[in-house]
Amino acid sequence: MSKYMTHISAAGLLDSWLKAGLVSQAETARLENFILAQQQEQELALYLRILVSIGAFIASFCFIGFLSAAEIINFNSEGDLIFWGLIFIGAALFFAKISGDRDHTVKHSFLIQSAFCLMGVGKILFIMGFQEMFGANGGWGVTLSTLLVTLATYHIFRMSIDRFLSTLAIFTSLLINIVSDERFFGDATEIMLNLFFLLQIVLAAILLTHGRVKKDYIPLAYANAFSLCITVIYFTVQSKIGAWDHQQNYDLTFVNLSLTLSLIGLIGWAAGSLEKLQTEPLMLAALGAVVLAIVSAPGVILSICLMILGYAKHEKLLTLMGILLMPQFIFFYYYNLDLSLMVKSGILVGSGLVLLAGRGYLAIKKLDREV
Amino acid sequence: MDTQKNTNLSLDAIPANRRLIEELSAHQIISADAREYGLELLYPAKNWGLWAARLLLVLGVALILSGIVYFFAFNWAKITPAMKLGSIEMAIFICLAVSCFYGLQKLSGKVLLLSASVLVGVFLAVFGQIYQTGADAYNLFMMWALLTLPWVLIADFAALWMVWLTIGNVFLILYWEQAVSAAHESEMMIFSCLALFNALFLGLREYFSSKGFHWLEDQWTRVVLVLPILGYILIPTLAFIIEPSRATTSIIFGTLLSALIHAAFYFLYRHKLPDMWGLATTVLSVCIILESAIFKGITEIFNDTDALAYLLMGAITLAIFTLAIIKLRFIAKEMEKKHV
Repeated sequence: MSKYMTHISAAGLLDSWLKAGLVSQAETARLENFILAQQQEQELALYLRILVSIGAFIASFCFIGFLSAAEIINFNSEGDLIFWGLIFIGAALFFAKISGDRDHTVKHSFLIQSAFCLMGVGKILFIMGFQEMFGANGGWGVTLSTLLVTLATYHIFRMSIDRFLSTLAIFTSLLINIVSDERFFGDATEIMLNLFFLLQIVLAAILLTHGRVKKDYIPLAYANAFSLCITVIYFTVQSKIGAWDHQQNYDLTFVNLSLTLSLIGLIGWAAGSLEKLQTEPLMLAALGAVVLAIVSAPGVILSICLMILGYAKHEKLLTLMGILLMPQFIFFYYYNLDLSLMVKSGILVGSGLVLLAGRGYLAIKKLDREV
Repeated sequence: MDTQKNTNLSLDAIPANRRLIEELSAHQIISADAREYGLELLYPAKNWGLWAARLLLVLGVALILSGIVYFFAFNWAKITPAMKLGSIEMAIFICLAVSCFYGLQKLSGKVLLLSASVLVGVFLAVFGQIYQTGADAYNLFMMWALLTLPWVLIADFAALWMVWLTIGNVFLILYWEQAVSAAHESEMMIFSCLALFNALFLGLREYFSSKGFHWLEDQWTRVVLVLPILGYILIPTLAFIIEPSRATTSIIFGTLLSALIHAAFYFLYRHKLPDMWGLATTVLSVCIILESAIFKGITEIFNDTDALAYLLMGAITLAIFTLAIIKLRFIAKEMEKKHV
C-alpha cells in the first residue's frame, strides 16, 4: 500500500554509504542481494486493488442473492450457513491455488477475482452462521467467527485486500461490541474500551514503525490504522457508551494520554531516535502535543500522527488519511464542545494563533528553509 | 496473490525509503551510523522543519478562518452592523497587504490571498444577514465567485482554485434550484452543465500544466476534477439505463455527453497525457454503466426473484471487472516500458 515519494534509488543510497565509508566494498554484494530479495514481488497498484474489491463486492452479493433465491441454503439454519461458508472458502483457496504463477494471463486474473469473490461469500456465510448460533450474543459471534476465519486464512490466502478487510472487520466488530453491549463488561466497559484502544496503539507502534515486520503484515498495519481512526471518530462523535437504555459517560483522559505519548514517541522516531527529543525544536513539538491533550483533541492528535507517519515512511495513503480526517475532527471537536459559538470562535482563533506562533518560531530559527 | 512479479529488477529502479533502511538495520546488515546517515539523506532535518512550518501555517490559518466564521454566525447583537462589516473589510485588507508584503511566490502570500477570498464570502454572508433583501442564496455565491476571480487568476495556487471551483459548483446548483425552475424535460440538464463547467477547468488544467505551469502538475488537481465530472454525468446515464422509455431530452443529452466524456478521457489519459489514475477512474465508471445496463437487461428477461438472474449477474460482474483489470495492467506495463 505504499506509494513512494523519494527520488533517491537504492543504488544511490548504497553509493552514498560507500562514499561515506559506512559500508565497505566487500559488504555491498550482501546488501544488494538482500535488497533485491526483498523486492521480488510488488503489490498491485492501489487503483487495481480498488477495482478488484468493487468487482468482488458486487459479485459476492449477487451470489448470495442466488443462494437465497435458489433456496440452496437455509439462511435460518446456522449449520447450513457455516457448512456452505466453509465450502466457499475451500473453493476460494482451490481457485487461488490453480490460478498459477503467470500473473499477466486472463486465466490468472479471472481465477484470482473469482477466488476473492468466493472468499467474500464464504466468510459472510460463515460469520452469519456464527451470529445465528450465538443468538442474543450475535455480535460476539461475529467477532469470534471473523477472528477464527481470518486466523485460518491469513497466511494461506495471500491477498492483501482480503487480509485488510478481514482484520478491519475484527477490530470494528470488537469496538461495536464493547461500546454497545454493556451486559458483558458492566461497569468495566470503560476499562475494556481503554484496553482495546491501548492494544490498537501498541499494534500500530509495532507494525508501522518496526523494521523487522514482514510485508505480509502490511494489510494488518493499515487495517489497524483505519480502525484507530474509526475508534477515535467514535470518541469524537459519541460522548456515551452502552446500549441506549444503559448508557454511561466515559472519560477521555486515558485516550488523550495514550495518543499524546504516541505522538511524542513518533516525533522522536521520525527524527531518528528518542534521544533527539532533548533538542529544543522537538521539545517544543512535544509541548505542543501536551497542549493538544490538555484541550482534549484526540482526533487532531491522531491526524498529526498519521501525517508524520506518512511523511516519514513515504506513504501517501497515510498522509492522505491524516489530511482528510483533520477537518472532520476539527469540525466534530468544536461541534461537540458544550460552549457558545462565541467562546468556540475564541478557542479556534486562539489555537490558530498558537500554531502560527509555532511557525514563527521555526522561521526565527531558520528551520523552515528547503535544503 | 494480488501482487506482480518484478522483472528486470535493478537497484536503480528501487526507490530508497525508510522501510528499506529499517529492514537493513533490523537485520543488522547496516550499522547504526549507516542507518542514521541514510535517514538523514532521505529525510534531512531541515526538510522536516519546512514540512512542519507549512503544516502549522495551513492549520493555523484554517483554525483562525473557522473561528471568524463561528464568530459572525453567532451574530452578536452588541456589535453594530458597521463594526461587523468594517472589521471584516479590515481583515480582508490586512490579508491582502500582508500577502503583498510576502509576495505570491511564497506559500504564506498565497495562503493569505486564500484567506482574503474566504473572508469575502463571510462579508457577503454578514451583509445578507444585516440587509435582509430576500435575495436568493445563489446571488451570494455568484458575487463571491466573481469578486474573488481576479485573485484566483493571479495567485497560481491550486488550493485557491479548488475553493473557487467549489463556490462555482454551489452557485450553479443553487441557481438551477432557485432561479431556473426547470421544466420536467430539462430538469436533468444541471448534471450536464456541472460536468461541462468542471470539464472546462480540467481542460484548462491539462493545457496549462503541459505548457509548464508547475503549480498545476500535482496529480490531485486532476483527480479532484475527474471524479466530480464522471460522478455528475453518471446520473443522467443511469437514469437513461433504468427507464429509457421515460428519458427526457436532458437525460438523452446527458447520456450522449457521458459517452463523449468517457471516450475523451480514455483517449486523453491513455495516449495524450498518460495517467493510470485518470484512466482507472474512467474504466471504473464504464464498468458501473455496463453493469447497470446488463443488470437491467437481465431483470427484464428474468423475474426479479429468479435465482438464475443473480447467478448470471455475479458471473458477468466477475467477467467485466476481470477484463477491466487485465486491460489496465496491460496499459500500465506498456506505460512502464515507455517510461511514462
